[in-house]
Amino acid sequence: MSRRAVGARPSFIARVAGHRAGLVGAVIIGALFTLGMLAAWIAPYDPLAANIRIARQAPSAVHWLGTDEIGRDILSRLLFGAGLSLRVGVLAVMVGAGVGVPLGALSGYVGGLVDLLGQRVVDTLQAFPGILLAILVGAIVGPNLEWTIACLGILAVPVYTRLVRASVLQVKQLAYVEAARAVGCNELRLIARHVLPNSLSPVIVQSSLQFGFTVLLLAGLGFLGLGAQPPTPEWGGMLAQGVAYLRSAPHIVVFPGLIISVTVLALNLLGDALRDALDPKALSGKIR
Amino acid sequence: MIAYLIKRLILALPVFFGITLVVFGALRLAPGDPALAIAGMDADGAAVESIRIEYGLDRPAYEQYATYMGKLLRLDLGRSVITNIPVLEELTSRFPTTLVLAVSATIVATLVGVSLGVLAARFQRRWIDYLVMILAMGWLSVPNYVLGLLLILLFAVTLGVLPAIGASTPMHYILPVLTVAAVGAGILARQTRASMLEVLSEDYVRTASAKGLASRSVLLHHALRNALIPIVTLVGVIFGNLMAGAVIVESVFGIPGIGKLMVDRIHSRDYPTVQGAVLLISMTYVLVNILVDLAYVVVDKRVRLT
Repeated sequence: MSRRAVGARPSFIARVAGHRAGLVGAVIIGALFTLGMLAAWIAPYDPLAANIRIARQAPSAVHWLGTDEIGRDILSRLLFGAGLSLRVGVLAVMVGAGVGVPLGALSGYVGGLVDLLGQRVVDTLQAFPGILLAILVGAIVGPNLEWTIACLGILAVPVYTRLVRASVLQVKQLAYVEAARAVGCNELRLIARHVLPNSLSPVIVQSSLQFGFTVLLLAGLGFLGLGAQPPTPEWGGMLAQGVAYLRSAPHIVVFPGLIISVTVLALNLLGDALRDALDPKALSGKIR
Repeated sequence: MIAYLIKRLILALPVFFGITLVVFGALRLAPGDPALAIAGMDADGAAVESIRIEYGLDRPAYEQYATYMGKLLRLDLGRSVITNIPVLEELTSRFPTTLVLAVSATIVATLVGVSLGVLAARFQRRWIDYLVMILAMGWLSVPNYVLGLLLILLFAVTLGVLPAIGASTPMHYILPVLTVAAVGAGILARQTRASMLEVLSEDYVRTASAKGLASRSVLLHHALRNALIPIVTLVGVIFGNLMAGAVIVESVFGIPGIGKLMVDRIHSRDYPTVQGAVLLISMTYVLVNILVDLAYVVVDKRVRLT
């Protein structure tokens, strides 16, 4: 350990790592990301190669997680599915934060009519319970992955806008912002360099939770037959295809169900840890 | 109180307006011809043309929206492309089922979540606390469609004690209600615990304990009552989310509510019905949140309505 003044706050990384549950979450997500990205190289079988003669086999030494309803290797499909889910998650969070953060900053910083109008738009978007908007778009444009990603991203915009707006409203009255303005800092630079960075902690926490929410929604849409289409190895779709064999071959449903749950759990644990670590009120990283 | 309710309803008008705008505008997102989207891909030219005229798709967008709103105000949501029954009729016949599911799930989630949260706070850092927090995290993380399938697998397929598909008896509602309730119970348990811990460190709670009140009475009357304020907001949000959750869960359990109707009709591209269902669920969500604001007053006498 490096030398540190007694009672000083441990570094951010140390605080997250010191949070045992958060560490577990981070490790799981890291592992899933690595496995998902390397799926093309490490997957034991082709995720699309069907062989009806070995359909619905229970887990064995040859097919570790068994085979699905048309004899495809479930482990391989889950690995490729991990890549897809996590990529969509990252993209949707980027869309959400990319649009929501500047919008929230503008709304909070400029105020007035811009703020009023912006907040009514946000109100409206938030009036739709999450998945409904995605279903609505899915119903119109048909199952289409690009639209799904865009839609999942747009769903995240209001949350980011609210968060950033609230914290910008708080930060912009602080003395150091006044000081920066007094030395002639222009407005854009003021927002970007002095106001926004101090509003970012809630954004980071939200991104972790939003990521989990996106993975969950994507699989939910897949389950309903929207989003990614068969034969694409997508977790929700795999779940849906297994429903008919719930009685005879439950493993087709159980494994995708487990991996979706574990991914969301890991992101929730990570989100909790990030919130604790970034909360200035928490003096020590170790909450529990 | 009445005046406040009216004021809130008026303030909600822009949101209602916005919802109709989104639901209406979504049709314009359709790649290609919206008339074709409504009529179905396999419709012939004459059918598409009659849809175009019926929906006024040959006129400018603002005019179409005005017509749409005019019909909406007369509760005319159009007819289902599949069954040719008025959408309003289709929706109202299935709405009670969804409502029963969402309301029962909200009640179960609130009872379970709040009592577990109080327990966890009372026994902070003891095993009960850890157990409750682990359970809550699990309920938050397992998606409802996965939980539903796992519950069917356990209680219907393996144990054979509960029915899995349909909604013909109250027994049929047990698994779906538990499935929908889980995420809400998880959120509420966590919020109740946090909120209770905050309140338990307040002076008035210490005073109540110091003057010798039974700890049960302090916990329930002094602490919980004050801890309830953030919880009430959450119950409203959760009701909305559980209603959206019911959309998926109905499909898992084959319950003939609005959610299943909507999902079934998406696949047959029955656009007016999907549109109507989204509209109805969103409006209910907004209304519930207004009711929640009113519930504040009942829970917390300090809140003044202005």
